[in-house]
Amino acid sequence: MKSYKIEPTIVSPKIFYDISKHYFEIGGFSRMENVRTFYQSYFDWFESHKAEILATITPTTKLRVELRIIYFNSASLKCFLDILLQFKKLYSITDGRGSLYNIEIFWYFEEGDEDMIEVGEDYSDVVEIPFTFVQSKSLS
Amino acid sequence: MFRKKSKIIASFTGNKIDYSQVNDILTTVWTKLEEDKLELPEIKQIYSVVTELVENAFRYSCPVTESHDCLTCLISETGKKQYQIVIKNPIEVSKTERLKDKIDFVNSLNPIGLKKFYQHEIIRQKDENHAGAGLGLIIIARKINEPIDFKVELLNSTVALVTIKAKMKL
Repeated sequence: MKSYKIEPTIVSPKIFYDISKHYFEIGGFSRMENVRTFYQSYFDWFESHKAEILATITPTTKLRVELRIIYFNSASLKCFLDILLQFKKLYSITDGRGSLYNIEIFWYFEEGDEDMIEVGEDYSDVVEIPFTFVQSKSLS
Repeated sequence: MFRKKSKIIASFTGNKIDYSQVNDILTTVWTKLEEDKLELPEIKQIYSVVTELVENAFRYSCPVTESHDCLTCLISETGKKQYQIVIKNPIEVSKTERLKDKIDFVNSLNPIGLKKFYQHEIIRQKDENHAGAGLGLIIIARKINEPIDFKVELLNSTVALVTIKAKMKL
């Protein structure tokens, strides 16, 4: 089973998605010159593996998303949002009672970084999935 | 009366800025603030404002002539845990009014209004596939303590020099 992995640089994040383990992680800095171009390679990979991912999802499958972001610029915001919304669509079950999203999102923040908690809360509101906030000594 | 002199953290002057120069400025700011033993949230607070302003200069600057070095970035410590970021950027005259309107609007909002507007803009991106120009200004306004200072000076009939100043006290 395939996975997607990009190592971080001082301006771009690590992205790791393991299809078989239903685990996605993004972390580090995100302030590249061409933010959309950077994320587009991930989106293209995701699209080309969508059928494969869907084939592994059962009603009990749960995706674990870990966001370990140190800093991201405003241009990265839309790409993060698109990543989460794609997962939300893929890992959802709709029945007569509505949609259930089998996603657990963990938002990591460094000790004392209240601003990052607020950013995560804003994101959680927009995506309409509760986040679990996890304090970490260091994200670097 | 003794007045502490400003300490320059990073500066740049040129007729335009490329992304390697943007990287140099941002890396210098992060490194120097770390050397000054600031806490990570404080470093990020300053770094966010500098990033949004310098990236804007990179994206929207419109050089007047090859020899006219009117693009300036100056990031300085003006007092104990007080910082000032000044960006002078030549942009097309036609874009100045819209920029002024956006800055005036974010300046008119209190912290709760800014949070609501920020969420509104994110939702707009989600719903409309909107690129989100202006989100950077909201981020800046949420990080600083005073209104964003904005001045426009005409350089010729098509280019204006826009000066944006952001002051913050940690």
